[in-house]
Amino acid sequence: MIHLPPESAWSVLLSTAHVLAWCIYVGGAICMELVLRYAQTVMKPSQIAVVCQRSGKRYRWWSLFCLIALLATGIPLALQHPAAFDPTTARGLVIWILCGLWIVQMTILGILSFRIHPDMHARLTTDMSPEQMQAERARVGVAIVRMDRTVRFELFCAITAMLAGSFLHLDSVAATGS
Amino acid sequence: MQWLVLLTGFIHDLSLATYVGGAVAMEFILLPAQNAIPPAQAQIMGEKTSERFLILVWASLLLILVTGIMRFYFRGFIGGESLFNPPLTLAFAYGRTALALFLIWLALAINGLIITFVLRPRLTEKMTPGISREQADRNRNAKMSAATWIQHLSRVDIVLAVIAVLLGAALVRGGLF
Repeated sequence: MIHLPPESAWSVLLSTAHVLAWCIYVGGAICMELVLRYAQTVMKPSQIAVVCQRSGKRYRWWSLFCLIALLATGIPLALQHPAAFDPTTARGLVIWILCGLWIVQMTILGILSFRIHPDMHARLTTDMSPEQMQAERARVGVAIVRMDRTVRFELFCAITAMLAGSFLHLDSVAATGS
Repeated sequence: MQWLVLLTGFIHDLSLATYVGGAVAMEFILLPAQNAIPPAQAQIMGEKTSERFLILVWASLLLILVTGIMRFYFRGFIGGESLFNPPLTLAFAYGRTALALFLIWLALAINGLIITFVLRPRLTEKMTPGISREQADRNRNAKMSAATWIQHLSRVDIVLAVIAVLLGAALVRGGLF
């Protein structure tokens, strides 16, 4: 009943995993930006902190798995074409751009995980003076603004990568590789 | 023409990503986060997230259909002397796979209609003051039942969307069955 030969079946499975990883990565980022941010406008600040902390933690893990899956499936898919990584061809150039964007996205994920998210936690203790508390809250406020900008830049890079990937589906690029 | 092909391909991919990734994010990222806050706040968050997500769902479904048809048209599979041209006919694996994709789109649209116009209004219905205890219990049970059904349908949607991605990947290589 299945029409595909075994070598094509393997390609279909790789493509499916690749597309799913893209969908979850980009769609997740869009959802966090357009859905969660919208819901936050009517929530109490204390609950926003809890929701951001929980969703941010899970989102980072999903993003990491998706980026690893993109690399693991993307390289074998690219190698199916001759001169896949040759930057003198249109296809090769697009693939190098995609590799560069992958590195940028991995870097952003690292910055979010190890720098920006830890900075967002307020460290308030009872022995702090009111000025120190105010300074700590201001520091958290700066960290939240920095996170917002970084997440938007991450979404911009992801959508740019998707646009670059669309070039690979153009029949002329796919067929001739030039 | 080549730019139009690129644009429709990009919008198609972006809409698919919004639908599939959004559904996964709602189910596996936002729902657990929602369960971590008090029920009253969780209800407000649930209402707002589903309100915005439904807009994204309908925009994505519509764009997936329109750009999908345009992609067939640009390849010359639609239009001309007959409506559907080879290989977009049931005699070819390509056509049968495309039909399966359309049926999945239809199922997703029907699920979306049920959630938008049947289940969600039940969930957001406000209780009127002065109703009897039995009526209040009935309303609460109806809300809980609607919430459970929305969760079941959302999971069915995720499974269908994953199958659609598989079929779409097979379509690029000539069709699956």
